[in-house]
Amino acid sequence: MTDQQRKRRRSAHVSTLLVGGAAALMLSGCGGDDVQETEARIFPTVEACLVEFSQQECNSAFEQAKQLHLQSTPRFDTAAACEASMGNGACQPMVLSQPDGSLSNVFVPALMGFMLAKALQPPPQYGAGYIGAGGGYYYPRPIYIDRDGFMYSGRGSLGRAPVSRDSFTQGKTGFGMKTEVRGKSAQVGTTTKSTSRGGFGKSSARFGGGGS
Amino acid sequence: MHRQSIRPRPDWKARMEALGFDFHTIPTDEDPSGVYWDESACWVFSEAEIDLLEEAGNELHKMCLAAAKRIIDERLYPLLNIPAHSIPAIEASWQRHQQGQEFSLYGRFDLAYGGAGHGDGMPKLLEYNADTPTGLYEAAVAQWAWLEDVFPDGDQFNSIHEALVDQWKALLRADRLLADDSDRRGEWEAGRALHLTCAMPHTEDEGTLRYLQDTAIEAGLATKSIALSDIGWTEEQDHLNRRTRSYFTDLEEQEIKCLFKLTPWEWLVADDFGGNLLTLTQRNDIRVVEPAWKMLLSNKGLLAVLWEMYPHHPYLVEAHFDRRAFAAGTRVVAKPLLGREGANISVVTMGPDGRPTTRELDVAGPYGEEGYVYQAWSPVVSARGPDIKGVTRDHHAVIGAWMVGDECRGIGIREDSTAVTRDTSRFVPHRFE
Repeated sequence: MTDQQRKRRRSAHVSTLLVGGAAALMLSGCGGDDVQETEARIFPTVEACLVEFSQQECNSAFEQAKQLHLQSTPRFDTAAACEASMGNGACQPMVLSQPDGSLSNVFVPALMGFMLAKALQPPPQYGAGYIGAGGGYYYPRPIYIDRDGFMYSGRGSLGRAPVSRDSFTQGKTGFGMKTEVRGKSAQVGTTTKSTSRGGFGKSSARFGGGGS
Repeated sequence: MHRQSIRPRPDWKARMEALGFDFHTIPTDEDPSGVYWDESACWVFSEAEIDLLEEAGNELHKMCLAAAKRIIDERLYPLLNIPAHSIPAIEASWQRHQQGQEFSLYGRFDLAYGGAGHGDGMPKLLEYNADTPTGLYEAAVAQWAWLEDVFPDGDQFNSIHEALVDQWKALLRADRLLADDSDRRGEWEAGRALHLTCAMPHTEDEGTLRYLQDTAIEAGLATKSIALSDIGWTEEQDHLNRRTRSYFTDLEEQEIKCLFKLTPWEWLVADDFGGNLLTLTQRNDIRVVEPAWKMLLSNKGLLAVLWEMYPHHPYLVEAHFDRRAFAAGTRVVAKPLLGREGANISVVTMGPDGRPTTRELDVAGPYGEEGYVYQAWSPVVSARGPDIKGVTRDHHAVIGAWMVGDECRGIGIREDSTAVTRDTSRFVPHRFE
């Protein structure tokens, strides 16, 4: 075998990220210092919205949510692909017109309701679309819920739905929710969590390190 | 294959520390100076010898997979003393492995090998550290950097680092939610992290864990490390639905969905959270690296199963569950099924009545309650030469052949002044010509 034919046996490159030791580890840990919490009201229907807002506000919010939904919701090529993410029966067909004038069929998550998120100031990206006054501005966002019960608006996650999808759609009133603009799972008032720690490590303590 | 004495680089400590290698020195009672990384010598191979070791690693790995299948198909768990409550998780994990859906990263064969002139010239399997092998950083990085510096034109059987990064990339392709970069995730899917854990504090294990974390980061995964005892078990109750969901969490309450653990499965399942881990594993609600089925390969009972399946295979040493199966006069090593680092090894010579006559070696340790497997004594290669202090002595060397995925991608060598490699055995670099 000549040198050219010989298989190379050593790594061409070895990273030395270990420089700096533990400090380097934290880089990819927790981000999100700039997470902003937002108060939001979530309504399955215009009727549920009416308890808290005027007819005009609710109608306007619902229309805007529908428009935003068509613009921003994820699109799937097949109903099966959509249902795999969203759950059975939770998708609807949508016809898209292509730039060349042709039409194509896609599937999108069904609109499950809308959210009125409280804005400290009117968010520019929605132009004049916000509603409310005095007590604060609210901007409407579409809501859909995946098969695991997580709520989304457009392509952003809002955290876990406060109730199951079925009870959400049947709801006659809205739900309050703190959403975080940057995706961390939201605090949801209807669930409680308890965590215990220290359940691993007894055996290691008896034997020493685990590597061999 | 021969051992070459060389002068250590005068500044080797500083150079190793610059690489992040903070456990190059491990003081012991026997050697307070605590040399662990030892570059006062290296082992030199021919290319044919390297080819043989690579082939042996690949072949042995295939044989071990066949043995795992047999253990499951024939339910040989009692021979290995696998706890009954672990079996459903092992079987579910193996099922996923068979379907190409289970991820395993790496493993290390310990081989007795010395090239031509040592035994029959074939590598012999001493054990398979398939679950929590260490010595990885030393093999993948420290000896690589040493070669670059000391023998820049030399070669080394060591593409372990590249292989690890590639293997993590394969995991990322299968589970894009682990991507550190949101563009590589699904467009509107929330990200998750690869969590890595080991018992802390533990300098060497943490060093290995940190290195593995580096390779995962290089592959593009989002990672977080957590001390084993910090892992939480969270029960989440949804009052409206009257549903409870339980899962492991890190200190920021993030769910642990993918966990690399440098702690043996058999210890984890014996811990208080062990049942929870087995349940989630069985339901595929958590991905554990190494996967649960590797409990079958890291158990030394594997040696006897292999010998029964492949008797007299050139890479195997005779091994049985029953010591009486050995011929009179055979030197037999008793190995605890779940022993580690050479602990609780004893060596006897068998008499004509199936009973041991002499007891030649007895290493103390905490293992053995789980039972033993017996393997004929197969000496590792040894060479006489100066140690790092210039004292001439015997150096017994075990070859660690590193598997990444299903491929043998390098070797690392541990040396000891005694015939049994222990946790204090030194790491000595290698090269080939």
